[in-house]
Amino acid sequence: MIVQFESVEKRYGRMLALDRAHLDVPAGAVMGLVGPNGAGKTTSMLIMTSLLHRDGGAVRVGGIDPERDPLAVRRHVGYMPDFFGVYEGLRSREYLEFFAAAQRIRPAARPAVIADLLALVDLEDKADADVNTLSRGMKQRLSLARALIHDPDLLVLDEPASGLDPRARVELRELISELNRMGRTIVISSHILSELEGICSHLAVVDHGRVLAQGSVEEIRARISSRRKVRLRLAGGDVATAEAVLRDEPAALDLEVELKEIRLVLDGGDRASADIVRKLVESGIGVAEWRIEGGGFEDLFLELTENGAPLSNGSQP
Amino acid sequence: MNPVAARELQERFRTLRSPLVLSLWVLAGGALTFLAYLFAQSAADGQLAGTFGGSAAAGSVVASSSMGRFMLHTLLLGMMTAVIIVVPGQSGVTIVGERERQTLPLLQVSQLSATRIVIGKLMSSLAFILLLLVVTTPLLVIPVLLGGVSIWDVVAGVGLVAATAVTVGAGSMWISARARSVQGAVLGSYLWGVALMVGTLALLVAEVLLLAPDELGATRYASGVPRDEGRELYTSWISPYIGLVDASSDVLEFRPEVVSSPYAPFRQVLVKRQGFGASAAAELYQFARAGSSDFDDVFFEPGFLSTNRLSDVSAFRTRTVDPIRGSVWWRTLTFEAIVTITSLLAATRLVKVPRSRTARFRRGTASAS
Repeated sequence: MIVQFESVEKRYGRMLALDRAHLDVPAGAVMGLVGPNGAGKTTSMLIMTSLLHRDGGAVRVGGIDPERDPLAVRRHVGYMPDFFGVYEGLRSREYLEFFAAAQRIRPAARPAVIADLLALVDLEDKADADVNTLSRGMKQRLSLARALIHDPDLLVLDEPASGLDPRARVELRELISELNRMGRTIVISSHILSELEGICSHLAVVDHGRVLAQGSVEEIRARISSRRKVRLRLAGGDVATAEAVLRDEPAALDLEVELKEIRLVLDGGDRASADIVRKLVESGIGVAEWRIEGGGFEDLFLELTENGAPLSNGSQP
Repeated sequence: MNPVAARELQERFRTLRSPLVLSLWVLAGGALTFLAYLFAQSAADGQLAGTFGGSAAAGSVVASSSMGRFMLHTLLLGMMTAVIIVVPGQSGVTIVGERERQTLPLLQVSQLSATRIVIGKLMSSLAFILLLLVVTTPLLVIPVLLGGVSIWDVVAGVGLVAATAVTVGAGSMWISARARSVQGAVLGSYLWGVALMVGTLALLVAEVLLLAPDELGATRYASGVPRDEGRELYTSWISPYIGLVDASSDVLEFRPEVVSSPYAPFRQVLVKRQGFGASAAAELYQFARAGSSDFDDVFFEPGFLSTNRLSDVSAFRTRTVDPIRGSVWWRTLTFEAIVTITSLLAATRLVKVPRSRTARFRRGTASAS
């Protein structure tokens, strides 16, 4: 694990921002921290980047306690906050040069590093542009280049897509996936869950300072979402026969039969789903569409937060 | 070079404002020097007729020396005042400015330690004012050429002004690290500057009036000038102006002056500290101006003026009254060093330890999730 939180607590006055939170980020993962505003995502990220002290529990980043040796942790971590700090009158290249110096990169190595990063974030043609004149999407990409300047193992991105237009979001998602393919572990937060779909390999659902669930996306989906709505559209065969097949299936519940369509609730995972489809086909039913509705990140999140209590691998040890 | 300082200097010197301020500063310094020269020259004309045994040449030397002192003291006091006025505006915005434009966390998460961030900020905020001092230094050589002051007076005076700039800057940085807004930081920094400039003098005046009566049981000194054991004026240690006067002049060197130095009021305090009341000091000045035999008794060996050539007039400088107490300037420097180190350590602590966001949550301005 590149990041480990054990029973971490953080208070802001009377408000408990993190409540005995457990979090494990495997090396090489893209871990999405999902939760509403005020859930504890930014607090968790500040603690793992050594920018905030915890009140209790233990934290390891690359095996190092951020409070004991913050400079060592900072060598491993690239942090991109949910804002873009601007220095007046600096060009993009100079902005990166400054942070290269701050990260103690040798002066001789800086031009090549900066050129590579500008190429990676597709800002080569804006190298000499005043940072204030860049669009928000470009600023986010420049900020990502800044976070990468010392070649960290772990990237911590706090709401990176916030305020971006759809095109910029797509570009940023592609960039994050590319960085993950290059071997970097990425922790990314968002309260817009659809932003994280497709790029996260792992998920931690956070609410009221507690980690309600975490693990690979598939694990969480299997764990919390045993019942899913299904829409069956028939291309051929008898609706009554299809209904009879389904009524014999214990995993098919709450059937609603229409002219060429049957709605049901599937109480089971992917194997149960595959079994039912196979039986329908063997019974001569033409299955035009077998669509499992829901099961996306937002449904997962709603299901978790409605239950309230953390699931296994969540906040409780 | 410290990256924070390098970036800020780059940012500062790219604007038109910097060369403009630099040029205006040099012009103002040159104008002040020229005006001081004209004023001193006009005041000196004809002032010494009949003194020094009627020696016009001796009178000319004294007038020139007096002019030199007037010019140097005017420039140094001007520089000290300018430093106390300019530095809070420069240093007060440094850390709170980073916080306001949300760049401080980016520095904190880099390989820069809090100490390097603070030192870089101090360097950048003081670099400009120190540059202004450096470009003014050639003007300070003119009084040396006129005589009456040594190059040491110039070096010591500029050194004390520079040390005060560092102290004002460090204090302002601590205020900046504590402040919640740029406006609050600038206001606080200027209050700190005013406290150092005016507040310390007010304390000194209070101490002189309340604790050190004008004449303390005067005893007759060998020269016939009343003097007592004096009294330590502790508040004189913390005033940058008193420190400057003490560092860049010999306060117990009673000389005939054709132009009264702007140091005079500060010097009176230091003279009082050495056991001379206001009237005793005035008496010594009168001896100096009169060129009487009493004057010889005070400053020279008996018959010195009548038996020595003018080239020996440089001996003026060595003939002073013995001090009872040690110099103030090193005490001022010690005070400034303590304030500087304490302020920098406190500022570093505020930059190093992540601030509790409790207060910001309560104000509802934070969006930490």
